[in-house]
Amino acid sequence: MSHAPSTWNVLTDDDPTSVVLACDFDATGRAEARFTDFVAHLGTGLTVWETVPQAVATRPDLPAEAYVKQWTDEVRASGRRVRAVLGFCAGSVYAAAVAREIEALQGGFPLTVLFDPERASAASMYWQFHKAVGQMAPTIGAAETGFAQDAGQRAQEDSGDLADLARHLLVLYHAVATKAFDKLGIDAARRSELTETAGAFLSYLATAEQIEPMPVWGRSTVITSATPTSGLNALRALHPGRYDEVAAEELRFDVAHVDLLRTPAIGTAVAALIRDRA
Amino acid sequence: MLTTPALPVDGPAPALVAANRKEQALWLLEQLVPDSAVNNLSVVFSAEGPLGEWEIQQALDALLRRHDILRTVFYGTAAGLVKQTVPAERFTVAVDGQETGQDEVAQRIDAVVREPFAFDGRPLVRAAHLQAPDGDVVCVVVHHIVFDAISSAILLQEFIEAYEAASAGLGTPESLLEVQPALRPAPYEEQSLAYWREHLKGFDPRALGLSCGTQDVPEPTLTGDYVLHTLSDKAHDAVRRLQRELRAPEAVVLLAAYYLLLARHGAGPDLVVGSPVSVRGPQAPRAIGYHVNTLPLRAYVDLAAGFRDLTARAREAFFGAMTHTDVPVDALLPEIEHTGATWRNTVFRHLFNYVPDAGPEHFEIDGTGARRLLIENGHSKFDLEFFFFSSPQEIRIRGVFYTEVLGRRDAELLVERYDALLTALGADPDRPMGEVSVHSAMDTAVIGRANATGRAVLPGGLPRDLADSVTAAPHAPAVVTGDRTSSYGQLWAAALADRDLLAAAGVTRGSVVALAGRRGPELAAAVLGTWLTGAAYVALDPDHPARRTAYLLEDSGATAVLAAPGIDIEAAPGVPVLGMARADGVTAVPSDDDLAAAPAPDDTAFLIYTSGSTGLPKGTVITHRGIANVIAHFAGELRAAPADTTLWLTTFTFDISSVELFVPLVTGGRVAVAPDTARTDGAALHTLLLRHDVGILQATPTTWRTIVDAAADRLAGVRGLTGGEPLPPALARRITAAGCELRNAYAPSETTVYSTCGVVPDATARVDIGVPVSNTVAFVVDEAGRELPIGVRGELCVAGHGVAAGYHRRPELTAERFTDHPVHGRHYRTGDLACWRPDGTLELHGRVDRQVKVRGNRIELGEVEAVLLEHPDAARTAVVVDDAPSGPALVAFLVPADGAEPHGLADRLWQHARAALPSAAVPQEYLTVDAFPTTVSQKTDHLALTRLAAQRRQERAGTTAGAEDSDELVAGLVGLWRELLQRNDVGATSNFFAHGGHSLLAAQLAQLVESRFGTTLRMVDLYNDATPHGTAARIRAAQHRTPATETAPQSAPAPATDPQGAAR
Repeated sequence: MSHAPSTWNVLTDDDPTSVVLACDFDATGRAEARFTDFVAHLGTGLTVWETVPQAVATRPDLPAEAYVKQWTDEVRASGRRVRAVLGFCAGSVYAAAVAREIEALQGGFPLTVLFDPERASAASMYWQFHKAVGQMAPTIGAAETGFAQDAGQRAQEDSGDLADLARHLLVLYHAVATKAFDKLGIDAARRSELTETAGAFLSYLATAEQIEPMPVWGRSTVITSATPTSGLNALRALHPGRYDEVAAEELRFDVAHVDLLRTPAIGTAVAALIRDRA
Repeated sequence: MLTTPALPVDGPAPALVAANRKEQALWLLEQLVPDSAVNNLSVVFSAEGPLGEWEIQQALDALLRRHDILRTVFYGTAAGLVKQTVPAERFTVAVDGQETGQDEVAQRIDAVVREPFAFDGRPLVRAAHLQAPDGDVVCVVVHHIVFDAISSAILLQEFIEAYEAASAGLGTPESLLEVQPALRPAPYEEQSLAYWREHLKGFDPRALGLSCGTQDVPEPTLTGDYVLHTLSDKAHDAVRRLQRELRAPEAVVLLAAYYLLLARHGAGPDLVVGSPVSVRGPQAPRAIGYHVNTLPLRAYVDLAAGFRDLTARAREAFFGAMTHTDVPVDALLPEIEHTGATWRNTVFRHLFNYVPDAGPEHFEIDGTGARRLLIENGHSKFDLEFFFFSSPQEIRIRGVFYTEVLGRRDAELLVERYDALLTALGADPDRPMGEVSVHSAMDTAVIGRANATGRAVLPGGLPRDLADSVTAAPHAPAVVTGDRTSSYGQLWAAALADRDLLAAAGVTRGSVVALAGRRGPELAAAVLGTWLTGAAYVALDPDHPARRTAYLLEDSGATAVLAAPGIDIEAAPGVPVLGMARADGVTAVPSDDDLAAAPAPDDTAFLIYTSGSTGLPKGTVITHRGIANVIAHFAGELRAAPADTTLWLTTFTFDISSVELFVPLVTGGRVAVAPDTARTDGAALHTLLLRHDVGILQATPTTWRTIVDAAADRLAGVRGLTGGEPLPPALARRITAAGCELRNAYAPSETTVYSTCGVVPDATARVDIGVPVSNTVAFVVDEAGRELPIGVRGELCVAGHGVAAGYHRRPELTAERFTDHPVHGRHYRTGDLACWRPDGTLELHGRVDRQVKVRGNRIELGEVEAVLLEHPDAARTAVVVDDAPSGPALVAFLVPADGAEPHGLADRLWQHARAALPSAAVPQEYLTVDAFPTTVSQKTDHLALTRLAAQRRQERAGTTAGAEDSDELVAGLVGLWRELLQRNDVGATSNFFAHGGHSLLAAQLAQLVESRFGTTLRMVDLYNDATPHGTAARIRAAQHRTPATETAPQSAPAPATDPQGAAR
């Protein structure tokens, strides 16, 4: 490879001619397993790139095409054949858009595998905000963070769309985080890293709203965990009878959502799917 | 199914939003008791006739259309609770019509009200229409998350309106057509927050527990029950008088009295009670929904001050709260220190709920008379909640209580005492509150009855009683030892011989004689002979070390020793050692002369030595009045008769032994002497019981275990007595199951052998210590010496005939433990925790000085031991507090039961304790020993065990210290991890984020790594590998690329190529 992509993180680089694309937002120190865990179970011989949303998601009000274009431009420039598109959780929305672009580029719909796919929602965006603000409670007091959380909760009830909500939440986050940073003596570099990550994440979630993923999901393989409140399980619980058949194929694994990407059997199954397409 | 959910099947789904924090908190509480009705509220009324099915449905539909909140549904998700408001046209709740028999109505209502709701998108409203012969009942049940008490009044009123319109053939009334959007909590004011912060500053919620009821259970059930009470006219008058005199509104007077009630039951004195208030605001007074904030009202109860003072404090708390109602208490909780070891997340455990105008109980619906029914959901979220329904005519209290913590009787007594307190306070609001009696009429009656123990005791004392037995049957067998039988007359003759010997040696009235002998007729005669000189005895154990014997001789001031043949006693010069007279020779019959020097009631009968806090035994001076009283009592209680044989089994240095000797002798019965080995040799015991046909048997619980193991078949009809140590219920059940008529008795030595006694019922789950014996008054006091009512734990005090003269030559200690009471007179403070039970018996709860505080939790070590002892694998248990540097820890020592599998024993005990005790009271460690170290008086030496626990801990630390990481860099990083995460269970491979780390802490971590190790660490690096090990590798990789001008790469960390060189 001539140069490293800037909007993708290279997880493995075993095949110079092709690439598997993974869509996820992996910069939050989360409990869920990540694609860096997953590639260990895919076997050798593949090149896997993972989205770096921070590189593209700078503001909540950019058009989704702008994100997707930056990603697919780099894929096109690499000259590699896309063997599969993967998506985790809300990343499945972007996986849908990327898969559509790859279909246009390569003239055929790529193998698309989605792990507990979820659409971004006001509630899920709020929970992320709630959690991030809650972490500051020991520093600036729960009354203070609770006040911001309440304001965020109301914003969520009032906001017309996710971009609007993301803007609201960012403003609230910034105000409360500044107090926390001051108290903890966090330096400028770390401040901007934290604030940018928060902004990128909210933007990533907000922009996903612009994408209608269902048609692509309907042509994809979905891996569903055993966690009732995640992925298609959650969708079906919220809308009984409406989403019985979302995917072209659905594989269920008796593992928790947080463990999906670290389960060897799932890696083996996905590797087999990729091989079969080759 | 009661309701039919009708969720959208087409069209856009209504917006799904995260629930607010108050809703979250309610949902989280419900997670503690899943599938329960803990948050179910209801509007239930019964009509005097039938109601229309169609009309009821119409009325309900109108309300569901009108109130958005009633159409709001919730989903519990992994992230949290989300909700959506379903449009009216897609939301129906079908009224469930049920025809029912009249006698089933109450049960059906309960079933409807107690059916749980689910957070899965189904409606949180259900309705039922019960059609019964005497009239219909309508139940509307709504989850608290969309409802509250004020909502129910609004709903009922609107329901009636809508029903009547439907019944008249009209549509929904104009007034109910306008849709009410859900009212949202307003942001709270900074000023309010500041008020509450100040109000709760420094408050410690751990002092809120009451001294009555039971310990909280580890897994909350929140099961509730309630009692009803209407304030007596006297109490209601007092409330009115106090309102006028103290210039306080009724609510404040009632609140202040509630504080006092709690304080007098052991809570506080710094108290917070919760009080729910509506936060609807003037704009939406009629909004249905969850619009209450439960405000934490704090007041300090100074029992030295009058009620006027407390009322002023309550008034300040009350009005301060009313002007700052906007802050939900959950907002402040994390700022208040609490134990963390409990499910309770609030600063209060007791609720004060004042409903000034409860609305009419009776009303009409469409011309039919109807009555509102208050139906409980069977739960209580608080230990105790007093709801006051006040009207000018009466004040009704509904006392709801958490059944795991308080019993129904506790709750009944609490409301009755509240009534009594108010009455007393009304009479004199300036009297110090600590002086006001908290007893209800029942408390006074039950305790009074238990203490009505006055009986006439003949003044002659035991020597006279024994003389009477001898005179009545001089040739009857008195003491049987193996094949040897001594008659009453032989015993008397030997006693006279001993008397003469002692008198010749200078023993007179007031002297102390040391008796050294094993149980047998000679020892019995020696006791009697000593008494006939007017002297007292002190018993020496022939098996005790010489040093102890020498100490006892010296401390008691014994002027002579009477020793049995073969027993060698070294006495100080001038103290003659005399031989006991044999009791199998001549016979004598008592004459008046024999009793010439016999003692008076206040004379000393014997000294009993027990362990002292200084490590040296202390002697207690027991009077003839005391010993005669207890022997007379047990002679009656055990129905001892001349035909009975009593086994003399207990060592004579233990005072309870005198029951085995004197009860038979004063009743003309027979004493069968058991050798010492019989206490541990089951077969020998069995033989003795069979051979002597023993009818009366006393032993400590330890010995009873041997008895029931070896001789259960000999216990039918036996009158058993046990004492000296707590009787485990499991053992009690085994003994009674064998057909033994068992009595459990109690007393410290200082109140003479036994002060209380009670029959142990068959299959008992717990063991009490019965009621005071004859001429004995027991009372339970708090720390300030105030008498406590039924069910409230405090120190047990004993007054009456048995109270010893004091400690021998220890005036300070005597003054400290033997004190005067204005009513009960001279008494002994036992140091035992006890409470009265509603049946007038006393129950022990361990030692006052064994109540410890571990991480702020009050723990009674004796109770922990009792729980552990219930496990079949534990024969004996002792729990101590080990003051480890990491904080105090409970350590349980165990002597395993015979046959207990040693493997996994600690784990089994831990599981058992965890299931029965609050987590703070569960010992962290379980150490098995063959036997417990004991004090001189054969009691478990807890101090020695505490030292042993510390020693074991240090040994363990010594073996693990080498396990620390030898890599300095990794060790330094582990230190950082520990510092930031504030936990010590973190090692080289511990993930920062899996151990409580989050992004903000990660930023600090990155910064600290940079400052300490000179390497720039980006947070994204941490996200990729958040272990000390991985971070060390990254630091080394960066340092290897000197000069380190670039940040580390974003991909996986480079391997450490030169770990030794890189370590700094």
